[in-house]
Amino acid sequence: MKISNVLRRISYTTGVAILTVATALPSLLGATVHAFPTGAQVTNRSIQMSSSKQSDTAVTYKVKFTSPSNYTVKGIVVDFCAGSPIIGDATCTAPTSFNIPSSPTIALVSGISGGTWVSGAASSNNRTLKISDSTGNAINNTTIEFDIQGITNSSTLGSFYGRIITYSNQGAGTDFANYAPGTEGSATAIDYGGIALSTAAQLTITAKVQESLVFCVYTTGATCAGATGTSVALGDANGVLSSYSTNYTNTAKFNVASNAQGGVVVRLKGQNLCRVASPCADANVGNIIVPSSTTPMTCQSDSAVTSVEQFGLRVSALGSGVTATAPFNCGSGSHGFDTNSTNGVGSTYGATLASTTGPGDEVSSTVEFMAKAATTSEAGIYTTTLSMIATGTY
Amino acid sequence: MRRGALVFACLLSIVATPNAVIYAVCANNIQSCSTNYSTDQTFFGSGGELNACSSGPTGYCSKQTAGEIGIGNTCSSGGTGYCAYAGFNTTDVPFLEFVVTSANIDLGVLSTSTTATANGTFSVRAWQAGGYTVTTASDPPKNNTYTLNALSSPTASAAGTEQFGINLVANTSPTTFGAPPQQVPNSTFSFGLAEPGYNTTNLYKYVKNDIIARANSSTSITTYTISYIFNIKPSTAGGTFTFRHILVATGTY
Repeated sequence: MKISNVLRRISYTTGVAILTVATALPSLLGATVHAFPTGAQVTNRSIQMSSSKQSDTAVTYKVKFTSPSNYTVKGIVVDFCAGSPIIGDATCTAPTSFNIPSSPTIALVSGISGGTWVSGAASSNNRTLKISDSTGNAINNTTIEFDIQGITNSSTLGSFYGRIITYSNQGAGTDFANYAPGTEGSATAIDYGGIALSTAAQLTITAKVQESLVFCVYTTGATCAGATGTSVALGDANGVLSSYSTNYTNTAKFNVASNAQGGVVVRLKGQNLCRVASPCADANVGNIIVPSSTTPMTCQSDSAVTSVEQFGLRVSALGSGVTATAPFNCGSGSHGFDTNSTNGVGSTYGATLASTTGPGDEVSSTVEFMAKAATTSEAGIYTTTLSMIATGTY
Repeated sequence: MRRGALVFACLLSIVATPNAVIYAVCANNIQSCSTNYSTDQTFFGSGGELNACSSGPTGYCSKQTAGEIGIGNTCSSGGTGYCAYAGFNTTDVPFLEFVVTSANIDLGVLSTSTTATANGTFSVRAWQAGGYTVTTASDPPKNNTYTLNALSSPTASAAGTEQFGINLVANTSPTTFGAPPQQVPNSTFSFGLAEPGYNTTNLYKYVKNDIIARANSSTSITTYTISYIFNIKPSTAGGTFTFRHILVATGTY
């Protein structure tokens, strides 16, 4: 009994001593275990990267957080670590190949402004950003946001971390000046928080588009898909140039679509209306509007004179983006044609009928043909075969 | 004597959280704490090992449990209820895991009469977070200086018109492809969603720097499937279009 009472008294004494010591411990423990910011954890904190690609350069990191304490902020540290976001963890190794320029470009967005926040920005060890201003900004549960430009992402695929600590002082000898992982400070280190980030692989998709040219010539239809017909009859209901004072007309169409960035040129190649088979000498034809030896080619007004023979054509309706070329760009009541062998329909590549200046979807243009006989025109069937040639410039 | 030692240990535990009275911030390496108490490495189950490794300097390690019970999210009642995520697959520090399934997809030659489609996948997990967003950070497909027309609002696919767009759902047009976000292990543990604008079947959109997926709380893995469409018109410039899709996951803590 005595022994147990003694023991009981000893245990009570010991318990009291422990309580006493424990009461005194907080300040001792706070000073010796680690120096820790005195404020609170920053909330709604994030660091958004403009690129997650490994080793990407010129990347912008948007730092955003709400500092809950009521104080004047004069310094902010953002430290990037490969292994841990924990404030107070003395180990902070820069992610492999990660780099913040030693004099980084900072763009302030909200919460802090003016002073030397931007001009005094500096980084060390390729990973520790410090921004500060001796005057500071008074904040109280304020959202602070700023961009760090020119960062090189880690070459390691996966997660890494950022640590944010704010300071109420920034001069020489202060917690801010002496910042190091594990010794963030406790005198003027205020709010804090860790963030996780991640690089990631990329998806790469490749697709090819072929150079294309869609071109058709037709008399019936609206699109190349449904285009038919190649015969153009000039004359009265019977296909006869029966009136010597009448200009008989008929039409055909051409459509063009292409992704040629330099556009498409449509050329016309052939010969005059002729009573005999090719080659068709001038002596065997009705007179053409413009003698074959005349250049430059020009439009000629339609004649009602019975002694005048005429044959020609014009682009009477232009598709969007299509431009007609002389002598085929005539207005109503005029037509052109030239068989010269230099740049007319009789040349190697033909005469330019119309063109576009760039790529375009399928558009339709109309060519109007005109023929008129004279009282002296020889009887017979006059024909010609005209080719249209489209050339794209890619 | 033994009782005295137990009393001493409890007192040390209280003292080791000097700021706990005001902010209830857990000290380093403490996973859970209230104002006056803390607990670490709590596990309810049949057994397990936190760090089981094979032998050798390059051994493989894993966390293992047997019959772990009580995993998932649990909250006390009321508008200011306290919540916790139970289970060893959660973490006690801000955590973001973002995995993009790297792929090189060749769609071949595009045609004005048919739509070319492709799929890619990525997954996100974030703990101790208020959620995350996933942003698309790439320009639309390019052929030298020519950029394929990207759909600025959710639009149906139309062959013969120039379109580039994506969504993160299952589709039936222009073909059956894609998949909705998959919650791993299930929707009680994972909460990622496709963002409005990218969450409608058969409608596609692409705007650089758009958020395309998000979660509004800590979450286990959500696996997303991106559905891509490519349409060209007759005047679409010839050449090879390349799209290197950079995705950025940003956690909010």
